[in-house]
Amino acid sequence: MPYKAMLVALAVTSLSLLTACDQEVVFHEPGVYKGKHDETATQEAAQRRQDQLRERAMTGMTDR
Amino acid sequence: MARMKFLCDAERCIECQACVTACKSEHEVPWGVNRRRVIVMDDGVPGEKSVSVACMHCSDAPCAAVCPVDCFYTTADGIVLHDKDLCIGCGYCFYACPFGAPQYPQQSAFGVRGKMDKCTFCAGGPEEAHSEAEYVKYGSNRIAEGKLPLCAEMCSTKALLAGDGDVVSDIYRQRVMRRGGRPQTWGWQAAYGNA
Amino acid sequence: MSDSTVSHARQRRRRAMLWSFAFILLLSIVLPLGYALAQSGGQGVQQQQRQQMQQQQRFGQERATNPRSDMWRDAREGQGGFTTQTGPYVTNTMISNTGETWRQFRMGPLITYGGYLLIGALVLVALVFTFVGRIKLSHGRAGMTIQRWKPFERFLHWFTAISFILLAITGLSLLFGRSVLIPLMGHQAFAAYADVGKVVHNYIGPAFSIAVLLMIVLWVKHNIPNKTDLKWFAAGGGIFGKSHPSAGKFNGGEKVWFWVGIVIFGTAVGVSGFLLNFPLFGQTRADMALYQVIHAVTSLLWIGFFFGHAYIGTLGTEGALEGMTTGRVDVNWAKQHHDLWLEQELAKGVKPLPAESASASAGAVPPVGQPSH
Repeated sequence: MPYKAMLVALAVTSLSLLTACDQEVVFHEPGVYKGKHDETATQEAAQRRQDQLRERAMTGMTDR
Repeated sequence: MARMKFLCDAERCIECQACVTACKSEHEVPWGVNRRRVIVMDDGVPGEKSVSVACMHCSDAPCAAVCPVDCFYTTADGIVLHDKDLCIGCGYCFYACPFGAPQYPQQSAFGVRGKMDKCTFCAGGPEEAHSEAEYVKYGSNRIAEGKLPLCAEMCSTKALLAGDGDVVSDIYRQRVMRRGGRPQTWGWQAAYGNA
Repeated sequence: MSDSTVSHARQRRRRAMLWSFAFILLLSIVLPLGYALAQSGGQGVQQQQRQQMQQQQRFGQERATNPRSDMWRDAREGQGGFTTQTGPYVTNTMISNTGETWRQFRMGPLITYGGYLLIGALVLVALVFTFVGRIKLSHGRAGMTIQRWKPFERFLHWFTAISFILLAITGLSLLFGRSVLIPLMGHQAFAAYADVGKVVHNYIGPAFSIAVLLMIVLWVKHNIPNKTDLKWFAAGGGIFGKSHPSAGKFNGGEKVWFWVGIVIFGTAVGVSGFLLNFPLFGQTRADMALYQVIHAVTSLLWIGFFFGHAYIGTLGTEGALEGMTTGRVDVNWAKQHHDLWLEQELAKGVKPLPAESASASAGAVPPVGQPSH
């Protein structure tokens, strides 16, 4: 039965295609970038302006 | 560490297009390129809602995953930026992005794409902060000045929120508690996952 | 006697079963459809009425569902809204769900198994070369040559061959470059290369497609499958085993390369490539992602197949390459690999020439007394 064999082969290939799918979620790795250096993207820069940005959000975004 | 997020409160958005105008004006975005756009659902019928959509700066950004030249990077604030010197304008990030954020200036005939342009969360790009090169390629860098994205800061109804995810959700939660109804953090599931 | 009647009866029963099954299937489609048609009467009018009713429902007080949840459901499903912004890449959907599927397919199965496929094809070719080796001319060279390919055919072959290789290298760089070339070259160098590569790919592509189309038109008459091909395949094409199965101008293997490689893959890659190259016909993001998948999958299969074709044409068979470079092949080679074609040519009155005079005028200029067309 070549038809049945074909169906089985199709099912097997389509199922095996799924094995290459990745469920892992890549959460952002801050500052890890192999290209040009971006000074403002670094951990230190983010640390430095963290409070400033937070205050800005609290004053600028809340309902007045 | 801060994790920058956008949130558009559809109950407050009045479709005034000010965020779009502010973005275009702040970054001198060329014609045909829209870093931010307002989408109105059910226009003119009951149930009409509008949402301002731009790059959501995803945790696991699809654009960064499919880029053939690997030109995307995530800052320590969780902002997704890209390097226009590396971009080849292949269009893959546009196919992958759920929000339709990547835009391309049309360079010539036959639909040839220029280098990709998208919302930078007003954080510039991989050039020296406040330099001419950065402004021309990526627009102004408000984050380096300690300011938040202009679209959200000048939103008249405070519908568009931008900033640290914790602060943004705090503000939104208070609103929902006061006004009642169910919360609708549109796009957060797609952009930031369940985390 | 009884055996045959039993099998006859069984056959009849099976045929009756098949027909009744087909009949049931047909009825199961026709009956509900007929019922629906009879119920609906005029379709257009009905639809208009329904639309009007929906409009009334939208504005009316009584509604089946909450408009707010309706709206969010539509947004989540990727239904379009209204936007005043204009531009070639501005979309009116809040969220597109196909992008993630495409990303999962491209970064998962496509890159993983596509890589395995290419490596597998190369390994297979290397195995054939080590264990079967070069197919030698079994009676040496005759010293007399006969024309196999006209200059235009050779031009077409080498035009498509060179552009195919360029397209394959640039295309594979875009798919595998990030994992293979960036660690070697660095980001800056690879981006510069990929930028040029993209332009090369986009400009050569259409020219290549046209040349492939010409090739199909030019060679289809030699590639009609016949009984000789079956015998050729049964004998393993002369690669496996000692025999030399007979063949016309194109043998069975070449016909498979023609129909599968050039006609099927060529059309799929050409059409999908055209649609990717010119995003001017209202293609959506989902369409483009689909074309990219078709383009990449068929191209990878084609490149794998091409390894076999290139091996057989150069290293694998003694005396085959000169047919495509000079246009002339040794008579003994023709006798061994394409005997039916040689007989045909000789019957037509084509006279083989000594190798020296032919090779002296090798290249574009045909030998004296041999019209090129």
